[in-house]
Amino acid sequence: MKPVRALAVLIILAAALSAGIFVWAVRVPFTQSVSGEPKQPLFEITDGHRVSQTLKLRSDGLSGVDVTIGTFARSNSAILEMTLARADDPEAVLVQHQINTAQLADNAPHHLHFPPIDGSGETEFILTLTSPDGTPGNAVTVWFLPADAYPQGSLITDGTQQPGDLVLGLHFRPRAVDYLRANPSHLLKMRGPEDAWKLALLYAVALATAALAVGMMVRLVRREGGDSPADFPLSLAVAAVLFLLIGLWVASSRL
Amino acid sequence: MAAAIILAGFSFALLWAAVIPYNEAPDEFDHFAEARFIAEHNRFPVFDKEPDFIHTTCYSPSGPCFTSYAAYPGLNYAISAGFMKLQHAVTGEPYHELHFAARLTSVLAIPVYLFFLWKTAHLLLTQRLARVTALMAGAFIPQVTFIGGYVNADTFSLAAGAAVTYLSVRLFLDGWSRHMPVYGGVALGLLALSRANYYPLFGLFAVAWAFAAYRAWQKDRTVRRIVLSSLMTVALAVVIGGWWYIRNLQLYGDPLGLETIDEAFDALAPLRQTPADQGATFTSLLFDDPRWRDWSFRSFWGVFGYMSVFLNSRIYLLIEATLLVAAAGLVIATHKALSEHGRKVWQWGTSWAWLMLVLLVPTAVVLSLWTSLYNDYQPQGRYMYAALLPVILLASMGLHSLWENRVYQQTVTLFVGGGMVLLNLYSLVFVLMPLYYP
Repeated sequence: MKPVRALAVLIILAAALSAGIFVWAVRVPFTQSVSGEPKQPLFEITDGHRVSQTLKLRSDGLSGVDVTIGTFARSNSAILEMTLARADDPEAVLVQHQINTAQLADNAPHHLHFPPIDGSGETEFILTLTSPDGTPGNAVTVWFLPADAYPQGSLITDGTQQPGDLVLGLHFRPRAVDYLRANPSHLLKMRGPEDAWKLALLYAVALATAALAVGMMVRLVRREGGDSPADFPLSLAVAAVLFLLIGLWVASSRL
Repeated sequence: MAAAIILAGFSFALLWAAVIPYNEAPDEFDHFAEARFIAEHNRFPVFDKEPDFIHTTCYSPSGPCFTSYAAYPGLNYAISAGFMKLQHAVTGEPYHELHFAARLTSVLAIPVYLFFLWKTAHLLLTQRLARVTALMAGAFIPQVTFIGGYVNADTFSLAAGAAVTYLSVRLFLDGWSRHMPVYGGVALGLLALSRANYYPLFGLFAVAWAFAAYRAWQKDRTVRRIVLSSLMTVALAVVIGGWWYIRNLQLYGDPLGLETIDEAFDALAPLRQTPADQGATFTSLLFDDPRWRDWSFRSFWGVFGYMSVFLNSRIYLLIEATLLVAAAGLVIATHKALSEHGRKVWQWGTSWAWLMLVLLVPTAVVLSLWTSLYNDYQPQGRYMYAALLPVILLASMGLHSLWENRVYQQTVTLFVGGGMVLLNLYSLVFVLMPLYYP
């Protein structure tokens, strides 16, 4: 094999390996919002009150929950406790977070972040808020939507199921491989089989035309090469390395 | 090859149009309502007068206010209505469900815009690799595909604007051709039926026309041909685009429709204040308001939903870095041309064309600033898309002018072209799909 061809094969193998590592190791961050209008504040969460929201998640990699907290436009000092547990075992708390309400802005989302929970897809969780030292006039509240904005879950206050849901942001960071594996079935569920097939066809056409465009671009680049036969493989290698480095740099960011 | 890239750009827009759920894009319900009204009534709606159409609403005496697009040019909605009628005739589906058919106007405008981008690149970029870099970038910018995937007036305007930009550059380079009055008249007429943020392109065409006229006059010293061509162009543009303004004049006494909307807002929200009323200025918005700057820049390249879905922030940084490299290349290229040829460069139409394209960039920024100051605070990159072609062409020119080394030249095309395809796919598969199909 000529050295140039060997280099090209090596580059293709390296690119395939990089893509494999990328899909396997990299996480895909996204947020699902449970929001809308009208929304309103719940009651003051004082000692003895308990606000819970069940969450039946479709996706893997739950990595954070936002709840919108209201301070009643005053300064409070009570502690608000947020816990997350599996609904079938609420005593085994997975995530626990204590919020000093003195530091909260009024009617702003509060972020509870934690390491991604792999296998959270199709699992039911329960998010619970309590305030052991909250007293009337020194406690906060959370915002909720009276309409059923999140049919997969329920709002429970003091052990009684209520209509509506908390205003929520659900953050996910599933591994790309898990996301790619699960997404087609979500699509199928949400769009129905006929629509999903049309989408699959459009995907195939778009990918085929993109492959054709990129292929022709690469052919032109090769044809417009310099005098040395090593120019083109070298350009290809530099571009591949750039893509790999940039991919890792972007993937390592949480933003 | 250009055909393959244009086809890919089109099929990506078609795919995005199928993936994005209805109304998950800025004011799509408002745009769709107009197309639906036309499909159902076979006429354009009259602003604030239709019982079954959107009326101006203000949420409090100080705003915010919301209204329909009935006072703005409606050709793009009429085309959407045509697609909706076709689907309705074939499938019998009710009009309110025909979102995809209504989106086809935007989808089809993408290949038109790409065609004129390619033709303009052919005129201005001498290197084949630079031309391909420009076309690949233009075809796969995620924001462009996004606006190609929902019902709006931007994509139609982008296509009409691209045609006018191409004809202007041709006027600078080649002067008049026999067909120019026809092409120019049609393109200007369609531009007149576009959004107001594309109106600076009338100025570009006027300067190019004046330039070509001066060159023609220098050549044969006859005024007759110049006057006849100009009259023919204007007449054709008025026939194609003027009817809308006459309609507005008859209905509202306001050809542009802007005062009509302002009056409706003022009647319902007399305490409404624009950012300018609150003391904001051009400079304060541009230099002291990082949100205006960041959001405008980011949404030029890729921000989705109702300006709520952003790409990873490092991607924007990367685009900024690439543009800075391109700017360095442009400085080098300009310096080289001026030191080699001196004032002689101003004898070439190419130099004037480039100069005008450069000037379009700040013009588009100032117009968007003006909108945010005196109308509604909306830092959105697509409002500057009158300068999209210039930005793409200048970036490609700059990147390819930086270093003549062949490996570098090839790498730029592979990096920008391949990178934009990857970015587009990433935006769809890893940003939008998880959001809408979690």
